[in-house]
Amino acid sequence: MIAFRAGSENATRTKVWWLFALGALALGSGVLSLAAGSVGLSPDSIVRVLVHPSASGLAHTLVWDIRVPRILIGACVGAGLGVAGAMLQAMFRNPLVDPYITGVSAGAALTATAAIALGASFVLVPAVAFAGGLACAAAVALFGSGDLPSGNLRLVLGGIALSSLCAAMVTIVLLRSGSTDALTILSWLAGGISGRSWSDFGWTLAYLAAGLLLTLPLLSSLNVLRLGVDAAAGFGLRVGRARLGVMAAAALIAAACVAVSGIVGFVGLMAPHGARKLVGGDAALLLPASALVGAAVVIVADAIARSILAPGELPLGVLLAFVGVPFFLIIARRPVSL
Amino acid sequence: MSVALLGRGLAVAYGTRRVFAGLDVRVESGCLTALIGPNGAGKSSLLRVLAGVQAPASGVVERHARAALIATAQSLPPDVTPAQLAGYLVALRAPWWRLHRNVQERTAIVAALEQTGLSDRADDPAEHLSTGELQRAWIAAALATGAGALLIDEPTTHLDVRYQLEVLRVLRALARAGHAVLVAIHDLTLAARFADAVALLAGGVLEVGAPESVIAPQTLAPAFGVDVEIQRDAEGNIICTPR
Repeated sequence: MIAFRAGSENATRTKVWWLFALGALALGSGVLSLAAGSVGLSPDSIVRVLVHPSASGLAHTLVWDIRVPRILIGACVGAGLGVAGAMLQAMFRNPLVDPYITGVSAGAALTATAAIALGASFVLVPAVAFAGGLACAAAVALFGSGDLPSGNLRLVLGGIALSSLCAAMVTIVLLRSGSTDALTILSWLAGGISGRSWSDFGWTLAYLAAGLLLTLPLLSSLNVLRLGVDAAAGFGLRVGRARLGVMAAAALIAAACVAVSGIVGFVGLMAPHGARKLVGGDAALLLPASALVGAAVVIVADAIARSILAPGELPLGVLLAFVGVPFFLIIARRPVSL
Repeated sequence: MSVALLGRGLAVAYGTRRVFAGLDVRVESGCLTALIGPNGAGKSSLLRVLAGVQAPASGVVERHARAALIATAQSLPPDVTPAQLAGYLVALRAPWWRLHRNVQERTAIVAALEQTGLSDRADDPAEHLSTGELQRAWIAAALATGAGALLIDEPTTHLDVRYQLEVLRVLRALARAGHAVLVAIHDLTLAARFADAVALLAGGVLEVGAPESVIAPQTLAPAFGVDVEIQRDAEGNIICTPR
């Protein structure tokens, strides 16, 4: 972030203000979505519950034990996918890349599916999914590591290939499991954050924080990787190491998201584009902005997902696909800057 | 003149194809050297090895100054300004927790943009810059990072004649100011006119000398397989025409 003329100092300041605005948006959508759900709560009862956190009663249980953790988890998932998507789009210099390109979702889906089919307790599923996602991402990263500049293409191809293999194996597991298991697996794969508790929020936040901490030292490398592999190497960046770092951080973040919410598509693709329009491509601004946009999108989408078919719920992943697919097609048609 | 980069016994091979071997190279500070040679002779490979981007198959490179390598027609994301570009590259050498550039770094960036004649364009996004200005933006960024040796692969490719002259003038001024500048270039007349020394890389052999001694029919004909005619214009500049 450097500017030459006074005018551009103002431009930077405007971008920082956008960050505050996006933060307010995410916070606002979180508060508003407290009212959404199969049981209607009046605004004043929500306020009453919020100011007296130690009271008891139905409204209290609904707000503090169900909706608040759910909204916080939604915020984590959206923020995580937004950051991971922004990092990978900058690194690959490809606007159509999302966090799942790392093979995270496919690996997580496979191990989670296997765990459910083998009758593992539901508490274990996120942990197993996390391990599978990370293992798959590591395999993709190793496959794509090594020399410039073909590494980028190999990473993408490796991710796609490994994802297809995992998807095929998921199908085998689905076909061989009983109908109840198959339903459980399918609903997990469809993506959603219903029925999540404070403990889920705790470990999601822990993994997310670890991933974000890993991201901080990579900000300057990300800005240089965006200029291209040749340029980055020519100016002394150790490209292979930087790329591995970005992959690792993005995979850790994405794996935490997949583990808690299944496959929530398109947020990691859309959020960075929205954020880039507002704050530009500088990683120090783009990553936080993508996190806030992603959080707001998931919170709002989840609120819609749980109220549109009340008392039933639409899977979050399904709802996002309806918004995400048209968006994807629009960007695929238009030249997009990174 | 002090040595900025010194390569000894350098060899590069791709698979079984040996590009060159046993090459000794001196890149001197205060000197603009033109690296000429036919396609595939290994000019880009030599630049990459000298910059440390590519490991040589054998040999060592001593770097007495930090080297920056600018590849052929290096592009920029459309929203990035020359000042930002320099800022990003300077940030690579700063501790990661410092997001803003400090006074010294800012001063270096301002000076680099001035030296390359980009002060007025410093905050214009790349999509509004000409190809020549983009090339100079990369040079400015290299200067701002404190690189003492600039290795530039074909700085004049894709540029019209006016921008070619502009870029080469900037590079010559930088050499005068004490930088080591090594450019791979195809235009022999421009090479002869701007370079202090010319290095001809052909058939795995590097021949270095003053422009008038290297850009001569007896050296160029075997290297390129083309007869050339050397003339002088009114001011004594070499004009090299293939026959």
